[in-house]
Amino acid sequence: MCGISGLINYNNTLPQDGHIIDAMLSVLTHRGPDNQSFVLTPHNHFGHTRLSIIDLKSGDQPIYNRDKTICTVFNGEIYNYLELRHEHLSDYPFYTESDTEVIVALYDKYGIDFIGLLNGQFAIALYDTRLNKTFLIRDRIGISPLFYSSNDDTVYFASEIKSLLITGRVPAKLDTDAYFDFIHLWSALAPGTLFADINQVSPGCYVEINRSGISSKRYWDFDFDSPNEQPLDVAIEQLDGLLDDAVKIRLRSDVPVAAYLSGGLDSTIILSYLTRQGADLETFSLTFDDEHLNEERYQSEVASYFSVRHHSFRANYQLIADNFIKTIWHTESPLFRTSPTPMMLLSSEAHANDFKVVLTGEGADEIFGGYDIFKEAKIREFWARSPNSSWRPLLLKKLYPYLDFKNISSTEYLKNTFGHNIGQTNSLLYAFYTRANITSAVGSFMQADIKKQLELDLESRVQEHLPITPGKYGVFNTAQYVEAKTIMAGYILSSQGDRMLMANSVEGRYPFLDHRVIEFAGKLKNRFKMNGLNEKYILKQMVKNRIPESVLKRPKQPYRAPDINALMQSKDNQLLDFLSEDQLRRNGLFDPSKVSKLVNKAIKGRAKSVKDNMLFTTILSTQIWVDKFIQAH
Amino acid sequence: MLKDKLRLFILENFLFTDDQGELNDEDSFMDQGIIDSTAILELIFFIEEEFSIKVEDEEMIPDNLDSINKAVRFIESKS
Repeated sequence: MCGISGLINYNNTLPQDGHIIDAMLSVLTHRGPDNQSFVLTPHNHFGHTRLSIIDLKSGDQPIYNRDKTICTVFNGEIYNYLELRHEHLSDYPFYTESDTEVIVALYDKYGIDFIGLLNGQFAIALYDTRLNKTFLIRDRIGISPLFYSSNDDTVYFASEIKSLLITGRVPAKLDTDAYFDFIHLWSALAPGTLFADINQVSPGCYVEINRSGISSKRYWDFDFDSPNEQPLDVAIEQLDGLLDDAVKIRLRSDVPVAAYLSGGLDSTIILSYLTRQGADLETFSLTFDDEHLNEERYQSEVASYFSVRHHSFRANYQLIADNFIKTIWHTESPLFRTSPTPMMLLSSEAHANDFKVVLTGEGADEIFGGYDIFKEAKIREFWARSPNSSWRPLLLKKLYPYLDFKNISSTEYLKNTFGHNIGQTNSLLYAFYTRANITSAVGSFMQADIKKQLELDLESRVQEHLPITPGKYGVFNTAQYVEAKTIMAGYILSSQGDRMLMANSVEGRYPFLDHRVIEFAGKLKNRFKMNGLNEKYILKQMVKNRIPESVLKRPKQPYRAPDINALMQSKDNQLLDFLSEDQLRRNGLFDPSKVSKLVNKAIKGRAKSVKDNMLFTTILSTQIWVDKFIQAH
Repeated sequence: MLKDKLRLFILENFLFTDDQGELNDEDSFMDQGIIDSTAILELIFFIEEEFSIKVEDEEMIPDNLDSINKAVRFIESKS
């Protein structure tokens, strides 16, 4: 991955000095520490900070086509660039060995439809002087970030929002509608962001900019239609081949590649493919002081099983607290949990060991139905068929052990927590009501005027932003679709993914998010994904003789990190200062009297529930976010 | 006294406010979104510690715990 930024104006000539683009690149050096360059043309200024991974010698950007009428800067990887060169561009006069040049060569040959040929993760800016057009293109899933904003005919674009704000031409203002989306769905709804005048290029879309303005077009979307009728063994064979190739092409690199190992099923599966392909591998894992969060035992077992050189990094309370402000600087978003911070510490460890690339198991839970939220949706649907049943909701006790159900005999409390809109199985949010009810409690801490602005209808917001008709899929597939378009793109791959990796100049690669794997999984019968309540069934069947049995049979443990317990350990209470009455009044979002009660509860050690931890972390991180991005500009 | 203690606990820990007007004695904790299954244990811990009673599994039902008045009646019956 790298950093890109630029300015575009087709109605006027841009000033031919590089001070704005230079400033924009100056805050993206963590994304590309190896080289920095830009090009100025009358209507386009393109800049690039490079993290050299492929073609170390001649791959510096911008890259041009043969007659220099097309130019690109690009962040990401085109994994199938060798096949594309061979199959589509065998007579093209390449001047580099890079995957970037394949982009301009394919565009030159096929026009904008070339995107459909790419297999990879990418944020591309490409201008065409013949057509007087610029395209901003983002990968199908939303792995590589790309933002833009327009002001006085000029469009500013960049890999990170801080690069737009530093121009002084893009206002820094909270978008309260997007904050409403965020506190319900953990993510702003694309193309929006938490910043009022800044958009993202939506995953699976490209934006075209020309003299008449800006327009966005979708070229790809998730699809769960028409399940294949093939038997399980046939499906397993096909999936195995796809994953094998997805891993193989993600090993293409001119620098060493490592892997993250959580100790769960997904990263273990990736490791099994890597070792099968003969990769000489080093792995990196996080460990925690809290026993219930620590997966060390499984990590060691897997590392030993595959004989890899293993690195373990302990993210203790102090480290999490000390790095929380830096985390928000990189996520450019508030957080419900501290979980991204240890991921930033882990990429620092990979970087310290001279790795620029890591493969991870991200994406399998979304694509193959691994999350408890999918089970919850399934149980709720089952329960909705007989709403007065006392025992159907008891299945929920199998989920969410952290919700401490064990001593509660009455189903009334389960019904109260999980029974929201139980009959509305056509809703896009059917799987998400419970989680949204917990996180949206943040709204009750806001000042009265903000609270009023947050009185929106979530269902309409989601329908307005997601290109799907309610009822198109059943409950399970709808949940997969909405999860992939909201939390996966907006949080898992962003706040917890790209941003935490790039903070230390490390690129993440995700074989489960190869679009061929996604498209294949989208057509699987649901019972191959979740069999009863057995999640990721096909993956488990596929690897049952290839990974340690303990990992195969262990209950799913979602990745979590300590929240309040860690955040209370900040040096000189600097984090608590963000929650002081003065700071709260200065930022004007939260009611100081309510927040002080929550802080007191935390200080006394009584804020232990999931809800309290999320409230505290969200309010604190929002305060830091406002301080660093809104007040600072 | 018992009612005041309980009310203060609910206001401070679940509603995060001093405003007595935010909670009536008959308000359902569940209907008002004050206490759900994630918070019920916190309430039970408080009742057990503060009033030195033990809440049995079969007693953890809304009839005993879902409003200030219901909880007060329940605690008094156990004391």
